[in-house]
Amino acid sequence: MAKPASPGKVAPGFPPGRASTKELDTRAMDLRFSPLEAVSHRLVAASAADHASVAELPFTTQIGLRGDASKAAFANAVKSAVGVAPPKEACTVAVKGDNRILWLGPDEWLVVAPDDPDGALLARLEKALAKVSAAAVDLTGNRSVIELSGPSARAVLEKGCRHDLHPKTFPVGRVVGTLMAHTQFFLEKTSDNPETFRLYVRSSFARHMAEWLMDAMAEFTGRV
Amino acid sequence: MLLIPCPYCGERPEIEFSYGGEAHIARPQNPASLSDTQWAEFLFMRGNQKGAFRERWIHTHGCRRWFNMLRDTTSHEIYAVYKIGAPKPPAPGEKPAAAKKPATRARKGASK
Ligand SMILES: [Zn+2]
Repeated sequence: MAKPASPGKVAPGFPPGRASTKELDTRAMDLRFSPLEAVSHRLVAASAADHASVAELPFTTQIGLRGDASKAAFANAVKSAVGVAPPKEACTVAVKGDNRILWLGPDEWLVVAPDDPDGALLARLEKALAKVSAAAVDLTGNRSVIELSGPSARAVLEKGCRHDLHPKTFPVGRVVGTLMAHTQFFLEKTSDNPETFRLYVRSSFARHMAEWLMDAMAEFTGRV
Repeated sequence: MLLIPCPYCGERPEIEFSYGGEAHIARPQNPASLSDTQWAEFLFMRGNQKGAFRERWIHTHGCRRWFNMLRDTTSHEIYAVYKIGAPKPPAPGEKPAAAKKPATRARKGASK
């Protein structure tokens, strides 16, 4: 049995002060896992590129944004930090490189960007918005991002999504908040060739949504 | 299932929305001055009309915004949707309030 550490004596390696912040950060990065990591092998097994594929896009940075898009100061500040201004048109997405801004409501957006453990993007955004009536809140980890792609991707979604997903009414660059499998999510169309969708699902529902998708995909992929 | 035209997002399935009861119930300016009867009137009593009825809805699973709807409670026909604070579009057979704008029909109003 291990003896409890005597006061003043600390186990080697772990405590702050012994390891540098940088080392601790690196260790924390190694330890973190995404909501669908435990089933990632099953996502691979359930996918067939010429029919339908499903994968998690883990650790995306997500920032909730509130403000008045008709005010140039707000739009310019966001653009200076993210690279693109928040879209004014309902249910659309503005994309610049790997950064995207999803319209969620008339004064509400979600900034989605690559993994950014240092919070540099949020810091940039907060600095840019310092003198503007707006809010930027770190929502990273709130939603898991599931990517569904392939020639049958739309047919898979159409089994449970009541939104009209035909490319005429749901082209690339559109996002809607809706329900599927009793679960609220944001659905974004990111590509036409092959048809590719991103599902932004609240993290505690990610596993449920992934199971639903794998089941719905089986008839197209032949993989169970 | 109804297709409800959210004034922000356009036509969406009914399951995305939640009902918020009768619209345009103004909170009394000075609740302390009301009698119990008047307070109960404000809190509990609602129109429950048969026919055209103004009610509040929220697009819970979409843009999460409240709005008003003029709907027929017997046929479910949606005559108009309008944003909170916007002038009331007239009900069928009703005189337009300011007669400035024509009544917004539900289907057309959806795209605006
Ligand atoms: Zn809406």
